[in-house]
Amino acid sequence: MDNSNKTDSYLTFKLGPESFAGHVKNVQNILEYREVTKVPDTPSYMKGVINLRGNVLPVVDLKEKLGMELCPYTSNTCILVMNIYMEEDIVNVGAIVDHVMQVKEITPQEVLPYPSISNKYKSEIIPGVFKVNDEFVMILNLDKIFSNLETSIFKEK
Amino acid sequence: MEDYQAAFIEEANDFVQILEESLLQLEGDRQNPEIINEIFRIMHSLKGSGAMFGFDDLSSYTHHLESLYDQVRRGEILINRAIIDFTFESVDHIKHLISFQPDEKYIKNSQSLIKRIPGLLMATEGDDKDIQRPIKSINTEKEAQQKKDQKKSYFIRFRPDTDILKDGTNPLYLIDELVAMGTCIVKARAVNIPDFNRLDPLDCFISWDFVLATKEDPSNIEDVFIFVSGTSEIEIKEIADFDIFEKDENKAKLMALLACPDVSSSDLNEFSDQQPILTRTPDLIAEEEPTEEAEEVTPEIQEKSNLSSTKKMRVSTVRVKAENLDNMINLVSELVTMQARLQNIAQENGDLELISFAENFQKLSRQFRDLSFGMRLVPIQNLYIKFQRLVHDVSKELDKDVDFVTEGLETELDKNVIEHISEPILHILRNSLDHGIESKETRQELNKPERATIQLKAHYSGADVIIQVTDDGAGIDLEGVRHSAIEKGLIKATTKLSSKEILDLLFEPGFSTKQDVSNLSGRGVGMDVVKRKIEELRGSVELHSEKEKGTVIKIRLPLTLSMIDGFLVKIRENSFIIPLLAIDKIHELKTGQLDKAFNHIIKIEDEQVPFINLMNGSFDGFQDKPAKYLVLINFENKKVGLAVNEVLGEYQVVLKPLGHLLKTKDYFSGATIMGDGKVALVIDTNKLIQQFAK
Amino acid sequence: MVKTILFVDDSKSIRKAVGGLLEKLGYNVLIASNGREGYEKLDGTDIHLIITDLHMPEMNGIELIRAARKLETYQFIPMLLLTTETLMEKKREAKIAGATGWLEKPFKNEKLEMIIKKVLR
Repeated sequence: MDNSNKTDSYLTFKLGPESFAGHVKNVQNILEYREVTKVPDTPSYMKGVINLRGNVLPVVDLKEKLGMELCPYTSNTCILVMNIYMEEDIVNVGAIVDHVMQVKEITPQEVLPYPSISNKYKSEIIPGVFKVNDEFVMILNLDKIFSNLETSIFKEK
Repeated sequence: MEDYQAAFIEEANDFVQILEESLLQLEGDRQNPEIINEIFRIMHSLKGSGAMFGFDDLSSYTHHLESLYDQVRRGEILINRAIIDFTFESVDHIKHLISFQPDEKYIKNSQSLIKRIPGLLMATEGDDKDIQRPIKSINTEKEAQQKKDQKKSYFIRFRPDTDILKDGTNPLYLIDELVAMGTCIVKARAVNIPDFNRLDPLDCFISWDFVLATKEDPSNIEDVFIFVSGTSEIEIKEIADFDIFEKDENKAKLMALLACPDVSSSDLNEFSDQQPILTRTPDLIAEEEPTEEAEEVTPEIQEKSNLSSTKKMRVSTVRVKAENLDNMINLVSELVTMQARLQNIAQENGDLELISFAENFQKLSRQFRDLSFGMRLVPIQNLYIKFQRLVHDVSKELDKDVDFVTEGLETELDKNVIEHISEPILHILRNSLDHGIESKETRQELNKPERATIQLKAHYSGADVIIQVTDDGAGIDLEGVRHSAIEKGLIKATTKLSSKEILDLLFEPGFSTKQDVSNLSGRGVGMDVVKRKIEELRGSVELHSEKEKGTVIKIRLPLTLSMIDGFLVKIRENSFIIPLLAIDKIHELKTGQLDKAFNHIIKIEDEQVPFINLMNGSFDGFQDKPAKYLVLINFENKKVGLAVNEVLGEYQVVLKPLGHLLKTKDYFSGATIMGDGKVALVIDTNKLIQQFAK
Repeated sequence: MVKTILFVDDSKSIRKAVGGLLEKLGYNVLIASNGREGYEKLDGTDIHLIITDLHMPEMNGIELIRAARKLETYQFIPMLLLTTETLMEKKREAKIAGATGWLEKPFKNEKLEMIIKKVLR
């Protein structure tokens, strides 16, 4: 069987100057940024909770979670409502991103290995990269990042 | 009839539950005729309905129990331990038989169980009536079958009782039925009709003679008169083993014979020399009726009315799919959220008519919420049978004599809580029976009453329900627990622990006080699982024990999982909900009063009240603001203050889970969507205070 | 004219099954789940036949028949007792109370139909 024609769809977005992509299976919805209700005693990347059609959605600042430099929210700031596949069920989490770009169809051949030497993340967090208009887009394994907020996504020193 | 099998299974399962309940009652009240009757009636129903719907094994098995309880009912034998135990076993067996296709082995099991019944009867002083009588004797229809195709001729005399019309019988229908069976001539006799003045139109004075040629079996002819055979005079005689009407000469002869008013069957003997096969004369009314009417009926009626007045009130109920109930609750919670939004709009708008409308709407939706929430409430009583059954079975297995006492089981909990609390409580009871209650001998040595007591008690406490299991057993050996914990590496040998801390070790995963896992505790969940399950219900569990005195396990559960009356406050710029039931009162603070307080205690109305100030430091990520109010919370008979800077009033809260990711924040029981669409966190005051007390 | 039958049984499944069958046979069916409830239905409306189970809570079938016979409207209507007893004893008791006849459980549809025809046309 020839798998080369099978493409995967990725939603690309900006975090600061960098471009990232998440598999569309993980993205349920994109919301405009709105005020978040803070929850005391949580890690600072956990921004709080919002009302998502009558249910409570926890919201995480993805840049902060990835340990990137922060900047103020703008009118482009969005909340990605994500489906995170955990062992038994699917959990919804909101991720704050700076700017949502587009959905790209990517064939497996287009996915390049992410140079893993000296990068600070565990390798499974960024399984690969692809190029869009000469720019590298890093694929994020959203299930890995969000399925357990307590575990570090960073390489142990 | 097959279409109704599912309905029958459902019904039969209900019966089984009532059976278990009744049996447990019977244990404590062996002579109670009402309970015995109930058991008899259920066996009877299972037998009858079972046979109707093709559950033949069930039917024949319950037949034996019906007979057994019929004898008990009539006072021929007395209920004893063996009969109760046997019935319990039978109930289990019956459960297996109530399925579309019970396993072959269960059917075989029926036989071995039934064989024990005569033994049960022997053990009592009752007579040893043959209880194994088959349901129906199979008659010798087969022989008759062979001659079936051949017509025979019968003389039939039917002299109805004069009262026959009074019980709704229409003799003409019976005649029609006979005539339809073959060739027939009928002769009505009116000789007994009295003088017209004495004639009562309600009495029947006519009788009939028939000659019938039919292929039908004589028993079918009998069946025509089945309802009247006891009261009326009926004679059926075969007069020829051929169709008498075949020859015209016979017909003429018969007509002539029948024309004679006092013809008898013997007059027809020339056609055949057989003896009458059935002669029935009235045989019962004379001996039974006269005395009964006056003497027996009256006391019976009196007794009946006594019974019904002491009987529990039965509330009429309707079954509802649990799913529908859940859906309704979801809709109600949406309605409540909408109502909050409406109230918000009304306040902003300032239109008085709209405000008053919104207020009325709030009242209505609150009532609706309480009502629909109430529909989900189930009394703990519903689990009682399970509990008592376990105590009964396990104490018997361990040869321990245990009194199971309950109190406050009418206390109600949300259906979901009830469903999930049963297993942990069963485990606690099992532990208590297995490890807590000593053997009979030990109890004797210790001068304890030989009969041990396990008490299950429930009551409301604020927004919570407390369920408490107490036993008067051996208690927990603190040293033993400590040693075991050291061996298991849970604590260091040098660690000093308070007795409460030692008891808390029992809830540690994988801890078990008995070295060898016994049959009983081995099959259940450990205390760590008990704790986890209770915490999943947002409840808590604690354990107190005194060596040789006994153990108390106290479970605290929230009344509801989905909706509460809340009180809206602001802590810094964020809204929080405090459950209304937890609040004692609101105290207004003087500026800076809390800052001056020594060791987080201030004086309110001659009381020293410790407080938690969420206004600074402790809630990370908020700006400090001065506290304006202290919300006084009831916490274990004490008051604890919670500093807030705004109080906004009562609020109906639909509790939404915070989800997996925020579960670690267990002093929030959830969140709720406010009228303006924003989210407010709901504080679990007990857990918050416990957290701060650490 | 459609005849009305009052059917009394404390078993829900039997009520469903027999009730359905009677309706299929073209009768108008009234249902009650015990004798007392059945007795309450005897409020003067046209009922042409009563079929009642024997063992029921609150008021059993024989008590129901005995009570119903005392009501003028129903003094002469046929009443059948549904029973699992094969013993004559119970049947006699039923007759004394005023039952027209009885029907032994379990029964087949045809048997029920036949028995009804015996007492109701």
